[in-house]
Amino acid sequence: MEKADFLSALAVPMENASPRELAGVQTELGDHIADHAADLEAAGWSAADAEAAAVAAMGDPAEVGEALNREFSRFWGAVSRWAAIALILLIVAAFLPVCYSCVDAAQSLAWRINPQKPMARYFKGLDTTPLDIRCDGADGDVVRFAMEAMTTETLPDENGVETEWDAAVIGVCIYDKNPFRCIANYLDEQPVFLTDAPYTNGAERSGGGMSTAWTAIRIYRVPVHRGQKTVTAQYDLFGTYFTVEVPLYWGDGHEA
Amino acid sequence: MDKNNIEHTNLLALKLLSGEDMYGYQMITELERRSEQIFRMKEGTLYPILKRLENAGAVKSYMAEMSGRTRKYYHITSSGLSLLKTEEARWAEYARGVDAVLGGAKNLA
Repeated sequence: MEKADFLSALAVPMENASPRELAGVQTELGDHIADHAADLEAAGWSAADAEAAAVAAMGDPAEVGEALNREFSRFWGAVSRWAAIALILLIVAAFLPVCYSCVDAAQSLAWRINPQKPMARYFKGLDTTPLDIRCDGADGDVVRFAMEAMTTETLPDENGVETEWDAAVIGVCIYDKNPFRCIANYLDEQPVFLTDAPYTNGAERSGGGMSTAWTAIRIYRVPVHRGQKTVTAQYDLFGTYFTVEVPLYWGDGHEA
Repeated sequence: MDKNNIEHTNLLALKLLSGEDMYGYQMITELERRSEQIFRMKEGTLYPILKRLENAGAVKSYMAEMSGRTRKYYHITSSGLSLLKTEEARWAEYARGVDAVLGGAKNLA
């Protein structure tokens, strides 16, 4: 029997040992055989005979394996395996928020560089015009008017009759100047657009978008009058106030 | 005392380790040397004994490099030294009993 065969046969009954414990035992007994064989070779034996004799001196691998197996606890072996799995899950759970933060931070950087890209999904089927109007918002925020398209919407007029309105679709991106800081308020109280559409009570708020703690995108559908040159955006948050006139582009990207 | 239950191999392993820390093959060769080649055990059977002693806290193992090779060494603990004293006392009592019988047999002869 060769050393490798002995070590393989040794492992068969050792079901209570963990893979790591089994590997440790095999290494230790393998070293023992190697030491013994080296001594025999030094005494003039051939390498093959020395290894065979060293293996034979170890005894029956099944008996040795069974005796060793009794010294390893099935209970603690199972506990250690489950503990290892639980530890891995805990580590993953601990790092998950960090991973999410990394994804959010990467997304935030991408949106700063090209905010039109994440907005594109909200402008499908529309001829878009890129904007780049930046204003200082609350607590270091940048409020960036980034994309626009003109469309029509059917909305009730003051008498409740369905009427076709021209509407400006305007994408606004909000982020903090410091890429490692969250925005001041990503849930609500972002810019509003002033309009005299009857159902809006004078101000059109966000029509949708997406937000993380780092970046927010708001898409506004603002009813406007045909040929109107600008629409007024108003921002009032945590004591910071501004208004900005957003130019409207009617067809083929030409300003009205 | 249960005379049949004396763990001679435990006693021998602990006695060897009481002198110095050793690795498995070193213990086998030292045992053969000290017993003038009388004790020739199946060498693999040493390891379940060492593992049992380790589980009982009588020995501790550690990895150490010697002559460029890393080996698993065994070290007898204070608990192991106490166990060695107990086992030596039991062995002495057992040997006295055997001697007494053999002496008695001689007397009968």
